[in-house]
Amino acid sequence: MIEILYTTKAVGLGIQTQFSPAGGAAPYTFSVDPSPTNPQGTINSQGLYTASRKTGTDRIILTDSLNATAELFVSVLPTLELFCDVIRTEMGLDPDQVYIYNQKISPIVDSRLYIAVGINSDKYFGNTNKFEPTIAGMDEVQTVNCMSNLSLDIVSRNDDARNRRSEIVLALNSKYSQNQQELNSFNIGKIPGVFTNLSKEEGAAIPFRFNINVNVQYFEKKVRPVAYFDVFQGLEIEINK
Amino acid sequence: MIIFYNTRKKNGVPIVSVDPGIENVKMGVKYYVNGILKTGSYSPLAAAPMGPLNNLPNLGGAICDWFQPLVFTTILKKIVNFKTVEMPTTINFSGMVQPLSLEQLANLPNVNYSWSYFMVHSCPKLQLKNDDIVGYRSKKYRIKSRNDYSDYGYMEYHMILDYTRSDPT
Repeated sequence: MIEILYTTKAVGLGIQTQFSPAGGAAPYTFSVDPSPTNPQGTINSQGLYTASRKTGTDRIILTDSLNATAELFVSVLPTLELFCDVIRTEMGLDPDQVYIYNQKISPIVDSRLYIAVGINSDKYFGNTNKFEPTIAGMDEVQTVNCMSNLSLDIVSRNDDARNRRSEIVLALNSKYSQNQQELNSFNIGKIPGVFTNLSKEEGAAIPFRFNINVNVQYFEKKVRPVAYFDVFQGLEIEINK
Repeated sequence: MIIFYNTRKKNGVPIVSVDPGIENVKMGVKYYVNGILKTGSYSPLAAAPMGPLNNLPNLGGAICDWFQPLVFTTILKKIVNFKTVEMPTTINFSGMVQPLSLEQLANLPNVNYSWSYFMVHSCPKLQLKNDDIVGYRSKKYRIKSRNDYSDYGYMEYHMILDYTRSDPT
């Protein structure tokens, strides 16, 4: 049986990660599904995948010499979603049990555990703009460094929120979390040891709700080709004759 | 079926007779052979659960005469990559849309007369929840109340023109 070995299935924009073949018969060929709805990262013959700067899910295809194939779905995500992925993966939750809060979320009606991640505040403390030469010309590389204070609400109609709230702290300190932080260049700050119990505020609708705040440092990068010199506006001088 | 009415009363309750073999006539009231006419007022409230096995009249057949084919677009919400994704889904069903009367509007706590308030009766196939967004004739409405009368063969919804414009994004 042929399969693709991986260390993570969620990477940041423009990040590289290594995939390896297992089983089947060498030589192997890696490819990326060219569907236009996918981010369409690139992968070389050694299985080194480079994510594009577009979010979404790429389908990696591995083919061996006997034409047996294996596939792997890789999510290309911004930092906040990668943070959610760490919690979901480590706590073994379904894809819909961790979400970024917005007002269009449907109210919880079942008895599963849910974790809502929201942004309390952002603090920007660095901003760069560099020009790097490329074969085609020149790229403008802009970066911004940011520290976000995230609010994690863990809610459930059963006892799960009360019983499993500590697993969030374990997840954020896990090996997978540290690997993801190193690979994708973000840093989860020191985790405060305070869970605020908001169960009473929820009344009887959701019996258990706890909140914890976490700081995350990350940077955003934007690359675009530019000319050596900007095109100046045409100058028109009017002279009184 | 033959029902023999009798003017005699037993303890103030009229006594009726029906043809033999019929113990229970599903007309909303219960008759017993040579027994006492039992109306709803003689039945304890918890005597029988509501459902198709008791004597509730199914109005589905009658109300369907007023129905016409309708198309709603509902918004199916799903979490993909930790974000809410809204997908419009078309539902074809039989139903009836009518505006609330001025009296009904006047009884609402906060009424903005520039919004549209509609009452929808439908076959039980249409299952919506409170706060759902539905598209009807190129406008978005929000479901404000859901009355499940499926035991009687129909559903009733109240919906308001969605002034917050919760279109799928």
